[in-house]
Amino acid sequence: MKRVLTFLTVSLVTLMFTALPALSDENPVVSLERVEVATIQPFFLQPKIMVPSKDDPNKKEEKPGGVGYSSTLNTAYIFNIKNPGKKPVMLDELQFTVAFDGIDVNTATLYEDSWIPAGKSNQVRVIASNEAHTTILSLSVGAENAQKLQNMKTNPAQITQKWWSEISDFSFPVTVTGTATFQDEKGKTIRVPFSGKFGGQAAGEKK
Amino acid sequence: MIKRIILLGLGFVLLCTPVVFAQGMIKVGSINDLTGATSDVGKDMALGIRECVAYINEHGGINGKKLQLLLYDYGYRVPEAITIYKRFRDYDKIAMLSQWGTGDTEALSPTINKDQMVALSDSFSGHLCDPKKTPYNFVYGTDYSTNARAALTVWYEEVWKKSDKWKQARESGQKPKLVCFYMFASPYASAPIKAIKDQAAILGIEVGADQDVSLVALDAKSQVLGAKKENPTVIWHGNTTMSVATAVKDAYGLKLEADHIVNNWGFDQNLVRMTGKAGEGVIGAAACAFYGMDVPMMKEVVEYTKKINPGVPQEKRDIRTVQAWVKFGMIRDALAIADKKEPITAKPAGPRIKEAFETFRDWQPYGVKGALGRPPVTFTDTDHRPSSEAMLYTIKDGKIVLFQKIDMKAKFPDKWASWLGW
Repeated sequence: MKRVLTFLTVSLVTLMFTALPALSDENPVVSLERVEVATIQPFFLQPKIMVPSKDDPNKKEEKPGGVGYSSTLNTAYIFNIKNPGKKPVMLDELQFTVAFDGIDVNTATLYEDSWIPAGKSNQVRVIASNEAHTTILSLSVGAENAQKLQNMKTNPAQITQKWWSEISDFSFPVTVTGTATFQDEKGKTIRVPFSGKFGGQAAGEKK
Repeated sequence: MIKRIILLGLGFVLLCTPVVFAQGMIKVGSINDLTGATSDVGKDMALGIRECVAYINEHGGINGKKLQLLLYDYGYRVPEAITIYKRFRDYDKIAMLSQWGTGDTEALSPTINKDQMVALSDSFSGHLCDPKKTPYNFVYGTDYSTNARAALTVWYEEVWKKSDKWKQARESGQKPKLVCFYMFASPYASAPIKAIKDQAAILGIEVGADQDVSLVALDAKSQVLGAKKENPTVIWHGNTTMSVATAVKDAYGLKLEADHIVNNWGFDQNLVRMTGKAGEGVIGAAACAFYGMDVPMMKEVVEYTKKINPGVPQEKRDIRTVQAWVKFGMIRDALAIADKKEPITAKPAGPRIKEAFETFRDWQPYGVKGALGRPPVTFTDTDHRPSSEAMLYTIKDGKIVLFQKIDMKAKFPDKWASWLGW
């Protein structure tokens, strides 16, 4: 009887020393380091294409291209992923919504797995694409955006053009709000919400 | 004493053990609009899907297997949806597909049916409900055509026949008249038009000329004035919220007397906010209960919005989050049935998943009666319309409240079968 009791007590103490630190380990921290313009095309809604002239087939003339093809803006979001814990963790998924001037324009997801050693930091880069034409459509159809644009005394096309023109100066704030999902070595899921801001002040915000 | 210590020890071990999934995972690919023309509501849906998948995985997954979600943006562009689907099929080897718009769902329909890939869509187009034509397509909400027929029928029975507003018109022998406001070129908006006009003929309602209202309309005065010449008593709005709000407000401003009935993607909290007084009395279809309503399982939905996406304010949440839970609750149960028969990883899984959906009889989300306000769903191998019941809500004193639930099969038993697929 005594042996059993001793065995169980020793097992419990061992478990407490091995498992408790894992339970009380600190969660990873995600922070936005910076935002970069990965690629950008000047703002346009319809590309101009060269087609043979109707009057003279040997000559070519400029004609607006198809609807739905417009300029692309790819922005890169660089995050610091810090693991303050004592065990390595795997970044499983990172998902965040991007807002320009406080207006949601994209939701990006990173699915690639990466391990972060205990006490170390990694950096990840996520590229999100926006197209001028669909951004304008989104702002035009979206009921939630209508009031915001009205308050800002602008319209979907005007503000989209402004974003395309001023993104390289980051004269307006680019904000991210999201959640990162991690897994520890035992497969336990850890969810970490995060938010960040890069760049200037929102339209209408006091300087 | 020893028993207590053993129990304590076992409890402690269990506490320290993470949720471990049995064998592998089941992949579901989801095509969503996060940047395009419908991203306003698409974002809410995508967030809801993630939250629901987290809930599913924290509650046993699919027969103990983890449900892995791959969610990509297609910006409401059909070619991108096709590209994403091919990646899902060839590289990720997904078990089934979750889709978004009518355009991409109908465009991909021949491909997914050839590939025997089950697709559950947010487009409730009646065209996707006939298994003879589209055996692998499923929708989780009452189809647009049934919604449109139901909304017109309920308006006719409850408003036209009973309200004081139309008493004089009724007694003078005036016939009710329908005019449809929608974007002619939009597959979503035009999908139920043939059905609602057929229903008008059944009910003896006259039909005026259609009005082409853009999905991005900021002004619908010319369409309202056009409709006014017809002297309509009811307007069907087939567009999305922003455009519907514009038309309802312009109708109010120009004193168009007609009542308004709206399809499900045009009726939500934003419509209430944007129309104010003009929106009072508008009747709209809905796939399930609205966010925060007092129905079973809503507590879990709200809890997971706060747990998974705490950065998103509650006031930004709408019915689309709830719809995501209905949709993925359905996916969870169909995959579980198919996987029990033979593991999903054993290919081809498509026919088994399709058969699993077709075993649904009076299905309710998460096995809970009345969960999320979704009318019970039945699929058979001859009929993929989820339900003959339509839920119609109205705006009363600035709030969305249930107006009427109607079972179109019970009301028109001789016609129900002939309405399949259009």
